[in-house]
Amino acid sequence: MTTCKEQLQYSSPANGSWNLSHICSLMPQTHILFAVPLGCSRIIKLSALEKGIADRFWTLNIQNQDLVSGDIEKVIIEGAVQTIERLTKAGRRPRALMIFVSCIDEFIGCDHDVFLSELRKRYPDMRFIDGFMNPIDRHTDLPPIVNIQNKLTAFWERPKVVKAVNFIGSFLPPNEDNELVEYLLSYGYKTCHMYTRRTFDEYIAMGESALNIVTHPAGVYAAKQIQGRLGQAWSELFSFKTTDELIDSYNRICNMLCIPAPDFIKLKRQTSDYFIKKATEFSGCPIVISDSATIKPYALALYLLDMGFSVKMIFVQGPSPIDKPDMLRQKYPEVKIYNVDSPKTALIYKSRKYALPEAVAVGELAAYICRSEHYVPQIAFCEQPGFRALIKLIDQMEQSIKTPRPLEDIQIHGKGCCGL
Amino acid sequence: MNRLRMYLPNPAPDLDGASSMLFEMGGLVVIHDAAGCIENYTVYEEPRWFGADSLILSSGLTHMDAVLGDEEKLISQICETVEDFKPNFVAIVGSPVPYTLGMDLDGMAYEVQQRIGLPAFAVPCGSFDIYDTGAADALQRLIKCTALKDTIKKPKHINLLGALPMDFSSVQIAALVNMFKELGVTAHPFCMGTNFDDLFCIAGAELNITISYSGIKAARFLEKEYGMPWVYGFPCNKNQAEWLIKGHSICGADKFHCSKTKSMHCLVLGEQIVASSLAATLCKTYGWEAYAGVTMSFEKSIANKDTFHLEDEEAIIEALSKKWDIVIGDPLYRLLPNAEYNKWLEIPHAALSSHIYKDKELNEGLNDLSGMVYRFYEKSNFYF
Repeated sequence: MTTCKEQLQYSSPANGSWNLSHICSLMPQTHILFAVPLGCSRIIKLSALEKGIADRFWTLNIQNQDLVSGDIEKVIIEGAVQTIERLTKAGRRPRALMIFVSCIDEFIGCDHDVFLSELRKRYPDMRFIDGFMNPIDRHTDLPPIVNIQNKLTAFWERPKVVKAVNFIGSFLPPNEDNELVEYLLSYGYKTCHMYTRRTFDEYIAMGESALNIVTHPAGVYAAKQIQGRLGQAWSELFSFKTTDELIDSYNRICNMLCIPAPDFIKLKRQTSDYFIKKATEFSGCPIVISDSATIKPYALALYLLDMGFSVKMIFVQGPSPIDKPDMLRQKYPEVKIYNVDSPKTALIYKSRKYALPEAVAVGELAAYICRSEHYVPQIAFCEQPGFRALIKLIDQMEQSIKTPRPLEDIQIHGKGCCGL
Repeated sequence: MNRLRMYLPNPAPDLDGASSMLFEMGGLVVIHDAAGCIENYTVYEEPRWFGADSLILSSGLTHMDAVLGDEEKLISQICETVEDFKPNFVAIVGSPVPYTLGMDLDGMAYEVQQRIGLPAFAVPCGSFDIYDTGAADALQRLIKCTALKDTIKKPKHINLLGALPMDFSSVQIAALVNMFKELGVTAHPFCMGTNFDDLFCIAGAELNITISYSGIKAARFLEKEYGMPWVYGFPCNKNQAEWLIKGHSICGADKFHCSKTKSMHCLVLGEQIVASSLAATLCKTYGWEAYAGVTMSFEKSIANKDTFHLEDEEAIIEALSKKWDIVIGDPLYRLLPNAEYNKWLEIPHAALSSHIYKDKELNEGLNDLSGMVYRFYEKSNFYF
């Protein structure tokens, strides 16, 4: 495996992931203002245009003279006021305004309390919050993707507790046929996710749910903050789990809700049987995986190999805090693991070094590097938990053999993956 | 200027223009950023990125690096990468944080050059300006650093300065080169379809034709250093190409005769030289009263009286409120208020709309753009 030493970084054209425009659109009846240098907001507006939600994203261009003028807060207040007044005049006054700043914010000493408190004073009927589009903090304790999850839940309120559970962390709700969702419903627990909230009030009411189920590690910080603020308990159910791990997680969640543990033994057996059957049908078809598709690429590879599939290569963009390759390396040393942040990746596609066009790729990054049109365009933030989700993944892999996709589609944000 | 932008995305930023200008030159281009800027570039601004082996990389700038001003880290990483890949040159492209902190990118480039013995330069971008300023800077610095060796004049060779995918598709540039070829002239479009070796002969050409704002700075540099004459204009038909070869600009004040005989009002929105060339050609060839509304960077010294700067969204909205028989521009402008009152000929401009309207890109009739516009209007085959 290539070491993850500090070096110049390659950026692949595979970019299925959600960006802030997609993420922020989860908050209903909210307008978003990007108070950033002109280049920083462009990708947001373009991807919002592609998604047809561009009217919710406005830009306030911060200029170089603002860096030294010392009145950046005043500039933001004026921009926000102009935004609200124009929206109000157009009959589109939002319930909340989210103001994003970018990497330079921390270096110019912008005081967010100054503009937030002034806006709250001027518009008491509205909510205001700041947001951070600051990849420079990617390697801190509060990277942007973690921070935004916290910001997105900041307005939740908890005047009472209702029989419902929230799913947070991933950007999509669990599938309706998810066995846990069905089971909880049988005990009267509805499931909530921001994706399905249509009004600001519905969104705020997520604070009334009995439990937050966190399906992506990026949501843990938010869950802890909510627990501290509202006393709302949380439990993790990270999206990829083996069948044994799933049983443990389900039991823990039900225990927290004081309902009997489910009996999913039959479903567990069915899932394992299905995997073994499909592994035979795949008959050695090579499989490649990238961490763009799953939060646990090594664990997924290990599980597939144990079931009889033929995983050949894994592509990662750096180390994962929750998934280590040790077990995989020990048990299946023949599986190659590559770090694709390295500059050498720039030459891989043209040189065909890892070309394996017959492979089934789980993730667009793996598809690109292996030049395979047989890929599942799953992204890690939309990965689904559960037995049935595991079965669905295998079905999607099988489908990708029958129905190849144009490889060029990987360049388009979220093309082909659910939710976008 | 109103800083609020409600309908349109900002044009591509300077650092993307700089990177794009250097893309085909076989150099190591390092964007000194936190890996967010490079993602914007590779996803939205660089149509050649898929399958490419260009060494455009991110420094992966971290908060701590920025606070501590750790320049040695980047210099070492660059030197290490140079050893592995043997690029033609090194360029360090700035981004908002280095710009804000006043990092000495020129100094770092100098240090790199001293250590590795390859040409190295910085392009001090900050994402506060748009793509054409970064591209213009990058081209001028690239030419400067290559220390031109071959200045022997090559008859019938010209340079096209300012070829950038944000303004032109590769098909457009190929058609342009072909148009000059048919006139017996070999055209070298910098930097689309040329390579690093071509740079060493750049001063040998008879003439520099600046086809977009991105080429102006390099043209002035070559004029100053090598006495090379330059003109500006994007030829919208063969007559215009001939006019340029003869050493005349297309859209300059007083240099191009327009006879406004017909009451046909046309507005061309977009990049300055392209928009004003098309407007001037429509005027010259068909007698239209055509104006160029420059929505990108504006160089006053080359603007004629029918070319005006629309520096923010409100200015474009106001311009659209006038009665035009036809407006030519990117489809995104149609999102603006007042746009619905006009007839439109949509010509995508990647600097504004990226790849969103790739399917509407012009691939035919490129050797007679003005004729295509005219015929299109005559057929009244517009999108309403």
